[in-house]
Amino acid sequence: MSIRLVTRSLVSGAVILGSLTSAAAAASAGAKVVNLTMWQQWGGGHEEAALDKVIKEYEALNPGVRITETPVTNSAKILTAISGGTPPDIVDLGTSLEVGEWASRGALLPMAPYISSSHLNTGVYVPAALDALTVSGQLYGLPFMDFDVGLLYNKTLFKQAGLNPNDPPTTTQQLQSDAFKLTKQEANGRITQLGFLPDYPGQSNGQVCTLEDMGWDFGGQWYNDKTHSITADAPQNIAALNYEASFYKKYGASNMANFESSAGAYLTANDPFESGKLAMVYDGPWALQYIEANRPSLASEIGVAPFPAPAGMSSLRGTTFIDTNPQVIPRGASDPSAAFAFIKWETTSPEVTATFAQLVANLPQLKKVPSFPLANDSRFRVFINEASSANAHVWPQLPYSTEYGVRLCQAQQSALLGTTTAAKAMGSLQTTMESSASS
Amino acid sequence: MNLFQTMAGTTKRRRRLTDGARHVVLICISLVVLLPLAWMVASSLKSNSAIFVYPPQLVPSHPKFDNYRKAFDYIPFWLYFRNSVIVSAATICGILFSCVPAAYAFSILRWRGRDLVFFLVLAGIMLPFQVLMVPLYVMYRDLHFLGTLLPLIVPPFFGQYISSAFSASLAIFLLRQFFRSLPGELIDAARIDGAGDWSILLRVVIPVARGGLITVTLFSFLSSWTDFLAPLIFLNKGSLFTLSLGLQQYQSLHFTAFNYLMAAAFVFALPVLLAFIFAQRFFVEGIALTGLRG
Amino acid sequence: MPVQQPISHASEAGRPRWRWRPWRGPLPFLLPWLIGFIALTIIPLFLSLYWSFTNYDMLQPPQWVGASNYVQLVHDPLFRTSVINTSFMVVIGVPAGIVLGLGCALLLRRPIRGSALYRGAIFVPAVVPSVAVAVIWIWIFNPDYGLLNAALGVVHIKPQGWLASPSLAKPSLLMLLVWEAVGQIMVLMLAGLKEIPGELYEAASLDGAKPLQHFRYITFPLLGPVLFYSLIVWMIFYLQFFTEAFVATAQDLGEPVNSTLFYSIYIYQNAFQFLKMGYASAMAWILFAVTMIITVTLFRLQRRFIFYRGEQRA
Repeated sequence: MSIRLVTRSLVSGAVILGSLTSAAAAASAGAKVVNLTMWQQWGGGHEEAALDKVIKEYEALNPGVRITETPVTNSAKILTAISGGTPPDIVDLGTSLEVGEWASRGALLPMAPYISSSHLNTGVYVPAALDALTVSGQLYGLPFMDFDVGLLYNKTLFKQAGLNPNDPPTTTQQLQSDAFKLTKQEANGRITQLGFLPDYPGQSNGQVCTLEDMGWDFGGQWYNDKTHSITADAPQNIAALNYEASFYKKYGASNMANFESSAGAYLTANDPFESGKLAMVYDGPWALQYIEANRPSLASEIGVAPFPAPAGMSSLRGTTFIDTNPQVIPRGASDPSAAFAFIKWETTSPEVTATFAQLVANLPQLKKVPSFPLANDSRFRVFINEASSANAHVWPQLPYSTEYGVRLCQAQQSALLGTTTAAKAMGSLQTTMESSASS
Repeated sequence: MNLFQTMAGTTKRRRRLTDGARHVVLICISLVVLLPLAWMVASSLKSNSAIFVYPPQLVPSHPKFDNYRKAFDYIPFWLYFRNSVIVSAATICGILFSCVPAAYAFSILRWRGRDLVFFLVLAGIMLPFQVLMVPLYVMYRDLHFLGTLLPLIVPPFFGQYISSAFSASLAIFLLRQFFRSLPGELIDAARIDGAGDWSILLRVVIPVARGGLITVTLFSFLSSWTDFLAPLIFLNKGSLFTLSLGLQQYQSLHFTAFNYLMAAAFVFALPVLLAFIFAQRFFVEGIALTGLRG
Repeated sequence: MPVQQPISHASEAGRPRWRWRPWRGPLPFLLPWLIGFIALTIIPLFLSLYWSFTNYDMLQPPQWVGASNYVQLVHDPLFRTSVINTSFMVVIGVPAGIVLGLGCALLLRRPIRGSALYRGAIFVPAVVPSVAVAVIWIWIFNPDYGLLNAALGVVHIKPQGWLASPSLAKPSLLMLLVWEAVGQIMVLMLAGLKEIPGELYEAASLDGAKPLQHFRYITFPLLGPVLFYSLIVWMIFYLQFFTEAFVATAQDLGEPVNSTLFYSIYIYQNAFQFLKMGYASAMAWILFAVTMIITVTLFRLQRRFIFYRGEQRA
């Protein structure tokens, strides 16, 4: 046989082999589908619908990936699933409150290796959002949809009470006097209209409880980063709790408790604010979205202002917590790289961020996003401006932050319902958390 | 009339009066007891706006039977229903499978140490589930049971089932009571005929103690259908939730409407209510023997 | 299979006595239960005992800390609260259930038309699932729209907070728990009452005894075993009950102000919310120990106070 024949047959053989292999590879790559499970805390409703749209968009761009999402509002269930070895691949948390504790226990995967291998520049995110997810200097999730709170008030009720609907209270003292004018109580104690309910909506809107913000609003703090110590019993925190308790004292603790417990669930048409029984609330922009959906006639009557601060502390006006919806990957996820690819795309795509922010009325977690209608809405701008101010605080990310949060709410309730004084409640909270912190 | 006849007449009259009074009291008690259930059904038929009305009305003016259909859309009701059916069926089979022979061994058979080992069963009745729940959780995790229904299905087959008011230990106790009350002659006759232990169990004891088996079946059904703590802890996948867990999750979700919730609660309670109506006698007898509902 | 021949010598009750079987005999019948008992009860029992001496969060291996969990419990105000709350339920719930159950049983004792219906109606709550019971009663207790305040409003009583009120939350839960329990206790009492021979009452009547004395000297003593049984069984129930309290307070366990923080709820919270498995295990073992101690003590006391028919009393 001539050399040319041999060479030609070798070459053609190689070509045939090569094309067969690549065809096989292409075939198997096309056949390999990555199935990711995601547990989200948006719940049902229009927020879940928005998330589903985002997922579909990602699946269209990445044909080999399928993502199934399930609403799981109970965070304890998520933690037990992680510790039980059957975690989902992605968790879309509602707040960063658990991140500190879960990360410290090793329930979450640190983002660093995935960030470096995918060359993600975390500079695109708003710094506060990253702070909320940083535990002991390590990032444990990617931020998505930031949020904060301010004062929402019902202009119609203001007008009925003879208050200027375009002049919301600017100090906490004024808020209280306005609230008292806005409250109607029957002879038997039953409250039919309430100006301000200090502990509402509490945990439902992502904060530990309203006391978290109120404490900062009064100039207090909950944790000293420099000395690494808990500061629950700071005098300003106690002053804040006393302020909240004064509302309960005025109308009778049991009447206030009844008012709260007989109302419908938060963000439904029958909740105190949407049903027009509560005049002012310390809540966030997404509530506006729900009101548009549930009670459209009320929507235009809602005013938004930065939450007032005590007189003489006007620089603290607009105090709020700032948080994000952490996109985290639990330990034990079946395909962390694929999971990271999704959350990276989700959180760094300006278009996705802008669309989602518009749909759920949250703040973009990216510094630069294309303009969206809400961004120019004067009411929404209040929340945007607050987010970048010095008065936007993050709840401390510690190994025991969940316990701290739960016990803070219990302490708040004891003081509000009058079973103990604010000073004693905060004092015992301080002692309990100090012992938890040291154990 | 003589003296005795007069006395008898007085007693009868007094009896009729007290009976009348008893009826009145009993009717009142029954109504008060059944009122919450009536309220549940009434609320389930109210429209969204009729629910949040002050003061509340007992009877809805425009009953909306549609609520039942809507209630099944809010949560994956039939998925949870299926899971509950699987768990209950497995519990019943498992308890009968493991507890009937065990009770037989503790009652009809005689062997050294029998009473001592039975004492362990009795102690098990007092064992709180909380002591075992954490280690069981970790064990099931390591066995990779946690993503499945197995933590609820497997234990009954090994005579280990604890729920808030019934347990496999109690089932053994109950069955033993039943077996012990069987006439000894039946067993003796079978032995004389040369029957072995298994034959006696299968051909003599089980057929005659049918009532006890039915009672245990009913109690196992009731307690597994309504059990909450074990599903709460062991079921980590939403698609595996049982109805009791699903209903509670539903109630704690932010978007609840009490009318749909009451509708779901009613359908959840219906199977056991029906079982009770048709088999009241067995429930009652079972309680009488053990003092516990199951 | 070898045929067992009876050894024919008579013994008590005229039944022939069988030969004691070797261990082989019962084993096949006991096997599933025995395997389960060792693997799913004994082993977990001692595992939890071991973990009660460690700090364990399930994500990392347990770390030995000696008796530190137990010491911490003693100083934990919430532990004390949970003990007080649970004790309240036991001390009030058990007698309330027994008194009401016995009352209904006494009413139904003598045959009366429709007694099966009354009995069934009062017993029905026992078969309603606990989750459903809790959900129904939460709605009944709703301060503005619930049945209870509406009914009280008719007689001009102020609307109460029920589950939202720190002072009324426990009594509210007791209401629904007793509602569930009465039927079961009643049925048990009825069975006990049936055992009391009618002649005793007739004899007493002839001696001139009044109904109250009937109760005090005949009914109550002879119901002793049944009352005792109910006492034990329901005490155990109230020490451990979880479902109804959890469903009523799932959003904020123990609300309001920890008035509904019961022992079992606090165990759950420590285990599955705070991931303090060691701490929760210590609490669980204390519960087990207390249950055993109370039960054994009651059994000892029973000797002295309860009269079993057929026994001679010193």
